[in-house]
Amino acid sequence: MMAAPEILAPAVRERLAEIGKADLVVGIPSYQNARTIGHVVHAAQAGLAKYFPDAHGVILNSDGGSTDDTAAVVASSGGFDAAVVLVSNPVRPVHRFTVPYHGVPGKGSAFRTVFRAAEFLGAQACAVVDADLRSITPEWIHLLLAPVLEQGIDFVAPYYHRHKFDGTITNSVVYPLTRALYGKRVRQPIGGEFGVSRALLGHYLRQPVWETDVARFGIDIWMTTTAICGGFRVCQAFLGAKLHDPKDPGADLAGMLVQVLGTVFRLMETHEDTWQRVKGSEPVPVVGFQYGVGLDPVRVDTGRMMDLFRRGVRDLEPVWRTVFDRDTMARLRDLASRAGRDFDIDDRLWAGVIYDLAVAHHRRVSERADLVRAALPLYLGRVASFVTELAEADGEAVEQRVEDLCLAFEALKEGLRRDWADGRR
Amino acid sequence: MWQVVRQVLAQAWQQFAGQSLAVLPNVLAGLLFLVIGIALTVVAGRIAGFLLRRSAVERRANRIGLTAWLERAGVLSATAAAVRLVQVVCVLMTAALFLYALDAALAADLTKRFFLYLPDLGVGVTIFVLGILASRMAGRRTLIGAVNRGLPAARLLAAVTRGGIVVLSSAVALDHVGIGRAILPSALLILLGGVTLASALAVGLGSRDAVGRWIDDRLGHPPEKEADGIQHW
Repeated sequence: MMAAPEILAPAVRERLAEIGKADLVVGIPSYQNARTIGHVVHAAQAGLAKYFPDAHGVILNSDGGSTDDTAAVVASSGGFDAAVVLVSNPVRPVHRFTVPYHGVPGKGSAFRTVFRAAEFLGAQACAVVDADLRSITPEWIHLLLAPVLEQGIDFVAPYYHRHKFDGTITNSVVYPLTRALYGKRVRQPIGGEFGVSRALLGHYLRQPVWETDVARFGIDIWMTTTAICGGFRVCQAFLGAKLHDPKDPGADLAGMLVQVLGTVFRLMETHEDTWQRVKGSEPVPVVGFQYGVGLDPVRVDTGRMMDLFRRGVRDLEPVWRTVFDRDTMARLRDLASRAGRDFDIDDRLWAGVIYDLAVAHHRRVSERADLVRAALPLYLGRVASFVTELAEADGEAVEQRVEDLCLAFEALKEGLRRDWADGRR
Repeated sequence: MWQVVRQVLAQAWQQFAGQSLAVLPNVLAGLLFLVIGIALTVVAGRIAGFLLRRSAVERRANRIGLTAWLERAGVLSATAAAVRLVQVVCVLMTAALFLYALDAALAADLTKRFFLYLPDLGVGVTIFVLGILASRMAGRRTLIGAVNRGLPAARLLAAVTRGGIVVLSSAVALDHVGIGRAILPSALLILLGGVTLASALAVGLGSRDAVGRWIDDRLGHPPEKEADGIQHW
């Protein structure tokens, strides 16, 4: 383990030195979030004041060079109606300021700056929340920090209610795969909101990953996986519904898949010794009062997704052939000729596809990014199949199907272990 | 008159028979080398294949990642590639022995020329192989990108990309080994034409939706269905 190099600019260090010491730090990584960050800062400030009135809190906005008014909004989000949220006085002032982060551009570098600042201030706990949240309340800050301060938890992952068809990368790949690999049922491993202890902060900062792709993207899954594999105490905090600013509809889904799936696959190599030993999975405790929430309906065009799947089967066979065996290829070809409810990528086939991709990624049968990009039609096919099957189902039934998928991943893990060792497909 | 003709014919036949008899041992020896060489090539290939399979070379190649590299170059089996290499060496040796048996001076001259030519040939082959690898990579990337964007001519775009790079690298390789020096400018022109065609297709197909929306907007047609509201992450 190497010593963490100093990444804070002298001016930032001076500002932190002026503050001196802090008990709690809330980090808000941002980029062009002027529309929403004001609400997030308010909620963080109110949360610190309401739930930790005796603690010295700092809100740190780590900005990636926004050209809108993000920094100005943070600077002007000073006051909140104390009478609405506070039941006790007096309240310690909460420092808040914006820090431009340095290094590799990306969310990971923003997190690094927050962690380093928290370490510099000697904070006991640090929470990180996204700047585009619309549903954040002061309670989120409590739920993310209290388990660290009161229960000795090192890593608090978020636990949300989402629309049954939202978060499909999480539901169909990241959660089942992470759970099967590392044996912990962290339901939202790429949630975006986390609570972290001082010990884990130090551990994160000393990992030699901050100049790699983790600094650009994949920080969420990296943090979750590192906490689990490092043997740190993990829990989940129920935060209610997650609503955030609509993502850019033109955002590159293939690029997103490369970021998330590519990082998960690379982490499989880093933590090979850990996941090879793990069998089955165990629940991770959830803190916070769980309640039902109403969620806006979501429009899904499965026809377009199935079309892209068929296009993939027709045109990407030369690439897929290097990843999948003949049986899998035959099943995919057969699926391409089906429609409606007959178009069913079942759990075992899907788990096998993801494991084959992981092995192919490990063997570098092709450029790694190309390999994951080529999986986009497969992923959309699985989403279309899932949505078609569960169009009429309620949230609970969908959750049960996600559970079934996880069990399929766990059941097929022995095959992954064997293929990984043999380098076979 | 007939006597003269018969004399000429007899002389011709004597010369032919004499020279043929002089060369015949060489030809027979050459053919013998050829037969033995071909047989040895087949046998060596089988023995190499047997030994490589017995020593689980495929699995070892998998483990060190060699198979993956070979697959990228279009070679699907490390064992098959090694067997082919053994057979190529056998064939080259057989060809050399055949030539030596026919005419030692000619064979020595050819061998000398071959070795003098070898560095240029090596560089040319390297350029060609690198071109093939680059074309496969670029073609695959184009194919995946085009499919993910839902372009109908994904395979065509990939083929044009691949073909363009192969043409260019082949022309450079041939130019390096001194064959068809006039090919390079022609190949570049073909390549330029290919690139222009591919670009036109890509821009046309890629902007089809945007142009369609613009026309619909101008004609007052209702917009297309909304995009998905699904949040994938």
